[in-house]
Amino acid sequence: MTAAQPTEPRVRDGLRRAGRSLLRDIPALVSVAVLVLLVLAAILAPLLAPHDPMRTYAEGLTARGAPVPPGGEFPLGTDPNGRDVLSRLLYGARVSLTIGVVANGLATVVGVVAGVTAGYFGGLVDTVISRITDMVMSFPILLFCVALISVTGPSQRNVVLVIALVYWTYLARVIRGMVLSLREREFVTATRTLGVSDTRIMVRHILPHLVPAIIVYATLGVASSILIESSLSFIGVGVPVPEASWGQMVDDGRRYYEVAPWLLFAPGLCLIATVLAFNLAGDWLRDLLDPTAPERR
Amino acid sequence: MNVVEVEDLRVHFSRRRGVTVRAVDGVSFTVAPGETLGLAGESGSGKSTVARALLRITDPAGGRVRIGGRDIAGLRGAALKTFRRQMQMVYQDPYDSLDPRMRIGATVEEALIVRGLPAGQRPARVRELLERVGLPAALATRYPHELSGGQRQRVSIARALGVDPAVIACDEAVSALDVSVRAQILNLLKDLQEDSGLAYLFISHDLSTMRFAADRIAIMYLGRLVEIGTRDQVFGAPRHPYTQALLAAVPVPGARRTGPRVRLAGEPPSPADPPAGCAFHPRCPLAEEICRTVRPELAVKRGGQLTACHLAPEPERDSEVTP
Amino acid sequence: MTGWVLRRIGQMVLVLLGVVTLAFLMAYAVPGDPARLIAGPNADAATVASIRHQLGLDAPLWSQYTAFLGRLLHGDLGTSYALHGAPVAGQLAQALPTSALIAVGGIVWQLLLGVPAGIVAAYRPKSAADRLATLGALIGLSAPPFWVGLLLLYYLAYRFSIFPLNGLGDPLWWYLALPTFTLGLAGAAWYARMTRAQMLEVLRSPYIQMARSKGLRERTVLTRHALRNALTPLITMIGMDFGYFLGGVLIIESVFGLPGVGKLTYDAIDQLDVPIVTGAVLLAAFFVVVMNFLVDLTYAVVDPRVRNRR
Repeated sequence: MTAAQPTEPRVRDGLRRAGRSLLRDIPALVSVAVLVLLVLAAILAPLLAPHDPMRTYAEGLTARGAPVPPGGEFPLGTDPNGRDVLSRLLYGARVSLTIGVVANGLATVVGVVAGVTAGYFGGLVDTVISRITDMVMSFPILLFCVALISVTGPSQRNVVLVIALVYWTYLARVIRGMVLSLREREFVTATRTLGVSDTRIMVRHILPHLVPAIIVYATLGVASSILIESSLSFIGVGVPVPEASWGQMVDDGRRYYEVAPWLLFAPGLCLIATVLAFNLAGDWLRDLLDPTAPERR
Repeated sequence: MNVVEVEDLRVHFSRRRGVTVRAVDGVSFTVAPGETLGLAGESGSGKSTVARALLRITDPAGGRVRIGGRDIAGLRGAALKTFRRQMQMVYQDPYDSLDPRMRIGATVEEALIVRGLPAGQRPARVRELLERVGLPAALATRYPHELSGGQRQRVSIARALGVDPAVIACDEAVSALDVSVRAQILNLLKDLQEDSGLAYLFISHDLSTMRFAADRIAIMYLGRLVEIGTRDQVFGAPRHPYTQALLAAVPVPGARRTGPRVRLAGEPPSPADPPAGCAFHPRCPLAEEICRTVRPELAVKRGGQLTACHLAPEPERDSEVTP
Repeated sequence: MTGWVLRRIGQMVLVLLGVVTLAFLMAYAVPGDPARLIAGPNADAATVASIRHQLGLDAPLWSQYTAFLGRLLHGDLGTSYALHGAPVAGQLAQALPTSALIAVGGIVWQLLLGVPAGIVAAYRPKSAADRLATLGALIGLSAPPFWVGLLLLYYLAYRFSIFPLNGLGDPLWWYLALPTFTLGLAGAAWYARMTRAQMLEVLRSPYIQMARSKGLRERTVLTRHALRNALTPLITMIGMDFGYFLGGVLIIESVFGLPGVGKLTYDAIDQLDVPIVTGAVLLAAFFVVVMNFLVDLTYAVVDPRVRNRR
């Protein structure tokens, strides 16, 4: 080891490693590709969509008032309201991704702050935070979200808030456990005896060690958040109509599956592909960044 | 004036079911500026706990600790942070005592931030500190995993020096290192002491290291000091059977064996349930009735050192001085 | 041990109280006016006011809360807004057996599918079987249950008429096959992953290597030594699953048109019938908390180390 040569920045090193591992792992490669396409589709939805996703087209319904099958002017057919399914799928990607990412981002911030605080300070702070997570986690997630939204009223904002309100507890619990063991590491003790403030220790010495876990859990969390959002929309307490959402499109499909089965397949396939891609990417990141990260439910 | 004064220090750990472990049970000693006090004993004797209590990593249950003339009990917040600059510690594990995700330079710089040094002056000071511990300044951009064990301990020392302490506790600081590297680090510590009058509390289970590094030596057994004296007193003519046993177990150059050869048998008893009388009596080949019932206090014995043993020979003349 | 149990019961009561408080606050935060809902759109202001008074909705929050707690202690979950003042507890009690049946069926499916998949995957890590099982589990975790249920309905019930389309009938298990399978699928995926992880850990442990070096047959090693140790922690999860599944039936029952707690809740949501929704949430949370306690208790009896933890 020669002393004069400066080290490569860690980030660049990491990216190179990530790239190499991606090329060896086909499911991960596919999932990342799907995610990239999905994000592009969501961003470019106004350019890609052949029709207005919220408009009822006269030619979007057959003479007997049924949805139009796929092909021709409506590549994936129309829904019972005569709206273009493809356009709604593209805009639905926007809704699902936005809600998934924002809700999970909120949950991550709250969960990390709560977990680090509880784990680092221990004592009463820890007891209070841990009991709160116990309580929230006692509710079955979906039922709890449904109940919360049924009293606050369905809207995109409420869906985001409710998902975040439930999901921060999962991350908080994992992070707390990690901080408990980090806190006992010698470098933390050494820093504390140096006279460094608690805030600085948490930000400079604890947080960086949590980054891999946070990335992994955030990725997996987006998958869960999208699943919850679609379930809420399916039940009818999620994204309000006429805004397009995949869960709500499946709900449409279920009412017309005898005459228009495509309504069932298109949004369902989009959902499963998206959630699977996030889960695969999360698993791949777990192997790449932090093989010891515990499983989560 | 002594830079460290410890009087009757007690550290208790409470376990479940109301069991209290007296990890440190009434320890007193002093360290003068520019002096190295060695603290030796088997693992579990409480020697690391003494250091951790002095640094307020662990809170003492009783006794008085004065660092730089200031009583450190009950210090909180800003006062605690200011005190901490007085005393620093170099830890045993060179692989865990530096933040693996932080560059060497940033680690050392943290000490300077604590001292409130303006950002503009820090890089130069970091270089200076690294060079002072014998590291090339260019290492500042490296991460700990790129360094050897010896280099890391040097970084630890540089970080400690960064807050300009009066005393540094070295808790098994060289135990994890190869013998050749160990000597280098010990020499570095000596050089630093000569330059700036640093005091060391040198904790080790290794008596040959101790002989090289310490001016005075204190031997701990089950949370109590059993012998304390100058290096020559303790190594030349140990008075406590436990010290004799430790010395018999490890050949220490220059140490003279006195009295009957004592061999250590078995494990030390649990500090949660120490034996009555002299804590050493179950393992002591010389133990008599009094040892089982009356706990011996530290007292001046022949040779001049303090020894806590009923059977150690009394001083021959009154003129012998206490260390 | 007694001290531990008492402390643990205290914790459980505390969590339950928190859960109840949360549910109460939730019910109270409802923006619509339940009194107006009950009175109907044509009622005059006086009628609405008297109904509000009857329901205790005009009392201050604190006294409503204590009244709520008091009623709860007597098993009274309030009265439904929409179902003409029917007691919530009665409605839930009527619906619970169906949901419990579905939940138990779901648990059976998840064990039947998940555990063998996990064992196969763990036995030869990185093999084709492992990769297939792992990917299958991930797909199971990623598939929205409502969609899986609808697909099954579409093909197996509608297109090929193998299974009944909805509702309950005779024989019961025939009607429950699809709903319980759908409910168990995600759980099976989860169990497969857990089983695999547990098995891998156990197979790597010294005592398994010891058993192998003793020359025991591989099957004996696997079934006698590895399996038992790997599955113990999984079995204890089943208790909690029951509570979580009571939440999961919300979607399953509405997809398959089954008259359980989920369907009751689903219909209540449409009508802003908050007492029913709150009651269902409380019921499920109650199961989770109590099951959690029972699991801990079992552990503590089996493994004394648990008592000294936390």
